[in-house]
Formats: sequence, structure tokens, C-alpha cells
Amino acid sequence: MSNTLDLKRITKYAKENTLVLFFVILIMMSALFVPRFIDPNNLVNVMMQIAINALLATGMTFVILSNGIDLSVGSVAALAGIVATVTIKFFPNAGILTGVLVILATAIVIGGIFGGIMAVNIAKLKVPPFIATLAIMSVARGLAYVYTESRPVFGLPDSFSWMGIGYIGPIPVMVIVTAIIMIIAHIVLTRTCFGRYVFAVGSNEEVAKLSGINIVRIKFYVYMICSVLAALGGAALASRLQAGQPNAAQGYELNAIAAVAMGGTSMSGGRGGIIQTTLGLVIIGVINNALSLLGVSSYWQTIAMGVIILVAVIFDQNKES
Amino acid sequence: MHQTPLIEMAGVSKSFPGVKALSNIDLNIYPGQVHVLLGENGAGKSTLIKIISGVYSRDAGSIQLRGQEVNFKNTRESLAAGISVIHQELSVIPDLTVAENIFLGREPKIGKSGFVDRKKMNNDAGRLLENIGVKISPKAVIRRLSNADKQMVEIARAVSQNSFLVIMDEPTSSLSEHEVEALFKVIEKLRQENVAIIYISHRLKEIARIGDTVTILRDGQLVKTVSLREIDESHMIALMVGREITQFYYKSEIPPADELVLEIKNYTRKGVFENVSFALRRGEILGVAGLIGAGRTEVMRAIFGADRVDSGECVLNGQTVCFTEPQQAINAGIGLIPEDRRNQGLLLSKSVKENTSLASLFQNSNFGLINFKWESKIAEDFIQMLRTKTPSASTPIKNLSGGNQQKVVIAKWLAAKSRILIMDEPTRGIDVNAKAEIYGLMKRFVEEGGSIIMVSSELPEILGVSDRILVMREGKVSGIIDNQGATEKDILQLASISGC
Repeated sequence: MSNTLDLKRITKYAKENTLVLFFVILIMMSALFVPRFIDPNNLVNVMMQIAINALLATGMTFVILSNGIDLSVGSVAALAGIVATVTIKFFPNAGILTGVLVILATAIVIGGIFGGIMAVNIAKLKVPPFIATLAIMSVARGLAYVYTESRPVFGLPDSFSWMGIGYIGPIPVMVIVTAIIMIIAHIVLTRTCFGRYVFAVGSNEEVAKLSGINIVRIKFYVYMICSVLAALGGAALASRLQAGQPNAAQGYELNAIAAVAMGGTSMSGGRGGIIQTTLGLVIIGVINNALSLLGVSSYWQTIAMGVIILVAVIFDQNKES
Repeated sequence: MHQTPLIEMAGVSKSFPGVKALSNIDLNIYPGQVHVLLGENGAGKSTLIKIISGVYSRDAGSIQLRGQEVNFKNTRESLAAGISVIHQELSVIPDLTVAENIFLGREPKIGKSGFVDRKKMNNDAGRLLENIGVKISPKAVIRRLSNADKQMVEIARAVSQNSFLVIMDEPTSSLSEHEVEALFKVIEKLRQENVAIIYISHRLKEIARIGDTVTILRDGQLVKTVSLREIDESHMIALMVGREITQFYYKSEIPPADELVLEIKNYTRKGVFENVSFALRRGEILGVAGLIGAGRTEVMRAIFGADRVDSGECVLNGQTVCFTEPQQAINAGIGLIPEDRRNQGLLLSKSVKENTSLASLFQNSNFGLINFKWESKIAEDFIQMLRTKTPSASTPIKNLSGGNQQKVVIAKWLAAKSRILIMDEPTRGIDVNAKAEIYGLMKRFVEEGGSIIMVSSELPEILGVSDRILVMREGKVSGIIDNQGATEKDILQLASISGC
């Protein structure tokens, strides 16, 4: 009798933590069977590869928790990359500090403008998030092509690439920046009233409204945060690539959504968080890295990724019911 | 009654946790007759039709259909046996045509292919509609039809399924007078074709016109089944009500102060409510009675700022205010306990603690940072004070019983220091003990100087708790009476359409 109970408890724990279990197995398998995976340089490399998607996925976590979606992040990122590179060209002798300031300013201005437009449409004019952000996805990408006449922006001062490829000690700058932002995002979501309200709006908008929460304001901030982080990611990507490319960050919105979904944040809002997204990001990053080290072509990696995400979410859905 | 009954029910009983919804009902339904079910909200009418149509299973008793014992497990089985239910909320699909709705799931096919034979479908639908004497095009899209026409489509669907029993739950509640006439013609036609009809309505005048037999239910018991030729309106009301009020209600002994805390003047929203005016005193419980659809909930939501008003004035503690957002009403000390607890009152997946603090989180935060110590403390305090049964403050609210969930909704407003509570059906779906506890809390709240507006469809509750009673009918205040010797009959007369 007690034996069956114990078994039940173990299965229950395993069921509730499928993803953690999966993560542990994945790391063990990779360490055992993938050559050079466990090498510290490779691990740093994995984090570096995750970093930009992590910025986008962090913003996406806010949006999805509020029961929304943002399809524009890839395009906004690309446009931000163009704007940042065009701007830095005005400062041919720019130092590291100027480079960082240009990146941050671009993030705030571009993210603010496009996030603001989407927020007004979604929160005030009641346009469904899917449509509002789809429209901006198209507009922002188009602007990037029009402005550059679809040519990459080259010839940037070397210092501009510090944020994208520089190191502080053994750790890449981007990894540090992303980690700090994710920690702040986590604190905002779990320890502030604003964060609590994001969950409330995502769980049940009517209840939130009748409890005195200003839904319009919450949604406004949520889309602003998402766009600013997307623009930051795009500017950082340009810094890493040493170029502003109008076709950069293609499909990044899907990677960001995938990481959030993979982590177990509910697609209908109200449940999840940055911890979950981190787990999703790392799992996706490790799989990609392991497959690369094994010499699997990137096309096959895309296929594997799709299948893995589907399986993870199927498990998650069935846990709910 | 010389005919053999279509349906014979004997000793049918049904209990829900804490409530005996139906006890020992004997009922015969005859073909070609309109059988009216009459009773207050909660008398057991809907439970009864849900048992007949297989939504609920009975605990005891037998139901025979043409002499054969039946036991439907779901509505599909009862439908196959020839029983259709037309619910108060219409269940037609707005973007399909009339014919498509009538034959939904049973579309005629071209030969053995999967293609729908639209021509045949439209023709058949046209014939059906003609048969029941309705002039609607089979090709019309439902969305463009009036409510009455939508209802006709539902009736046509019921007829097309060869139903010999059609159950209509308040079919006229959303119809205009003219539309009611059309419906009655159709019912007459069905009666001639020997279809049996169970008809639920609160409108006594209408019942007297259309019905053959009436069965009056009260508190889950069958009071009387009688031919409508042998009973008049006032007698029906008396039978519906005729109960001794069991004294588990807690009315405060302290009379309300004269001080007015809230005055509503001429609140109007076109087509929903009109010229609603009343005042609320400090320490008072104002009961709001009326039939479902009288506009009570809508007025309350408007006062709270959740819905707009077209015109009218709201005076709170002597100051004219206008709430366009619930946030403003909450800051002014008003709390709303909505009628739909699960969809409007609580974040079901969140904990007792998070639900308790939701409306006062920011006021008690440190520059927007949640004060977790405060949150745990008020959650624990209110669990103790309201005697909420929950394993812990971190338990998800969905795991609590209805009564305990409602206590958490109340705690939310007590935590927000509300001085005026608007309670919309505060004890709906709550067992008897928890009800008594909620009444106790309400009493304590007003004794400490708070005021309550309580919307309720349960007359004993209204009479047992309120100091004064406001009665609404079709979006208007039809009377405000002092609860000194008021009776259920007084309220029903003000509330029901029979009065006009």
C-alpha cells in the first residue's frame, strides 16, 4: 500500500517537473555523448548564443503572461540595428561608452515608439494583439529595407562591437547585460504590484478590472517593455555582426515565443515567469549547441527544434487537465 | 385527464451538496398540452427540466416515457428520444443561415457524397417554417434576425427533430409584446399537432393565456398541480410564496443612521435601465429585488464604474462623483461582489492570499514593491476572522468550496477598507451553513458603520436581511418598501409583469 503511494508521489513529482527532468537528462546526455560539450569555453559560447534571444524572450514573457502576443519583436530588432548603426556612423571616433549609449538610446527610442503604437492599438483601441503586432512586424521590417535600400550598413567604428562581442574577464558583455536584465525582470514580475497585476490581467481581465486594476496602463507597459527589449536585442545583434542588416533577426519572434512556451508559461496568460523562460532558453540553446557539435546540419536542427517544442508543450498541456 | 400521459414522473428527487434541490416530485405531462412550471428562483424548475433532458441524473424516483422507464445520460439521448429544450440563452449559431442552423449536424447529403444538398435543405427548412406559420427565409443569416425569430428557428429545429416534448425556459423574457403573440401562435400550432410543451415563465398573465395546466414548485417540493382554469393569479402567487420564513437570517438590531452615504439620482442607460434613483444610509442593508433581467446587476455595475451610464448623478457622502473606472469607486470606499464569483470575482488559479490582497496591494506597497509581510498577515487575519476553511493562505482558490470562495471575495473588500459593499447574489450556490455565516458577516459590517446594497433573487433572503427593499421591473424602480411587515407577495407584485 505504502509502496504504491510512494510510486504515485514519485510519478507525480516527475509529472509536475517534466521539464526540469528533461533538462537534467539533456545535460547529462550532452556531457556524456557530445564531444567538447562540457568544455567551459563551449558553455560560455552557449550562453553567448542564447543572450540575444533571451532579451526578446524576456519581453515576450511579460506580453504572454498578460494573455497577449508580440509578433513584431524580430522586425523591431532589425530596425533598431539599422538605426543604431546609422547613428554610430556619425561618431567615427566613438569610444566604448558612446557605442553603449547609442545602443541603449536606440533601444529606448525605437522600442518606445513601436511599443507605444502597439500598446495604444491593443489597450485603447482594442485591436487583437495578434493583428496589431503583425501589422507592426510588417511596418518595421519595411522601414528597415526602405531606409537602407536593402543594403547593409557597414564601416562602423571598432568600439561599437564591444557590447556584442566584448568580454569582461572571462564572460561576454552580452551575457552579463542579459543576465542583469533578466534578474530585474524576474524581480519586477514577482515582487512588484505591477508584476502581480500582469499576472492578474492575464488570468482574468474582468476580475482584474473589477478589482481596480488599470488594465489599459498595465497592457501599455507590457508592450513597451517587450519592444524596448526587442530593440535592445537588435542593436546588440548589430554590434555583434559589426553591421546593420535590414534582414537581420528574421524569425526571432518565433524563437522568443518558443522559449517562453517551452519553459511552460501558459499561452493564455497568468501562469509562468522568467525562471520558466530561462529554462526554455537554456534547453533550446543546449539542443542547438549539441546538434552543432555533433555536426548535424542547421536545417535538421530547425526540424528537431520544432518537434521538441511541440512535445514539451503537449506534456505541459496534459499536466494542466 | 382521460389521455395516457407522455411522461410520468414519480418520486423524483435530487440533492446537491448541502441542498435538497428536488424532493419526491410526481408529474405527468400529456401530449397536446402546455404544462407550466411556476416557482421562485431556486424552487427547482431548472433542476427538474435538467433531469428530464438528461443533464442531471436523478437520485431517486422513476421517469417513464410512454410507459417505458428511461434514464437519459445526456441531452443527446433525450433529444434522440424526442425531447427538445429551448434555453433562455438561445443556442443558434449567429453566422450560419436559418436552414443551416435547423439541420446542423444532420444536413441532407447529395447521394452518398459528403456534399450538402443545399437545395433540399433550404426547401425542407422552408416547409418546416411554413408549417409552424413563421415567415422567415431559410437563407437568412441568423445574426440579422430579431430575438423572436431566432427563437422560432430553435422551435423549428425542435420540430424537425420530431420532438414530441418541447421544453421552453422563459421563452418570452427577451421578446417584445408583438413577438410574444407570434410565439403564442406557434405554440398553439404545436399543441394542435399533439406536441407536449413544458413552459417556464414568471409572467403570470401570459401563463394564464397559454397554459393548460400549472405545477407550482417551492423549495424543491411540488406544491400543487392544477388546471389553469381553476386558479387565478393571486392564488398562484400565494402558492409560490406560502412559506414560513425560517429565521436563520441575521438582521441587525441597530437601526440604520439617518445619514445618507450614497444617493443615486436618475441613473439611465438607454435600453438597459431608466431613471433609477435611490439612497443608501449609513448602517443600512438595502435589498434589491426583481426578476432576472430586470436590470439590477447592470445598475450595480454602473454605480461601481464598471459600465457606463448615459445620464444621472451619483452623490457619495455629500459629494457629487462620477465613476468611470472601478478603480475610482474602490478608492472612494466602494466594493463590488459580483454575481458570477468564478468569472468576475476571483482569479481562480491564484492563491487565497493573492486574491485577498488584489484590490489593496498598491495602497499597502512600498513604492510599488509588494509588502509580502502585510499580504500574509491580512490573508491570515481574514481567514481567521471570516472562518474561511482553507488548508493554507497559499492554497489555490479553486480548491475551496463556494462559500469559502465567497468569503475570500468579501475579505478582498474588507482588506481594501470598503465602506459600501455592493453584493450581487452574495449567497448563490452556497450551502445553508455558509449562507448563515455570510449573513452574520453582513450584519457585523453594517453594525460597524458600513452600508450594503444586496441584489438577490431569493425573496426570503431579501426579507430576512434588508432594512429596506428596492424592487426593479424592466429596468425601472417599481417601488421601494420598508421591510416592516413586508411580505413576499408585496415584492412579487411589484416585480412581476402581471402588475401592468
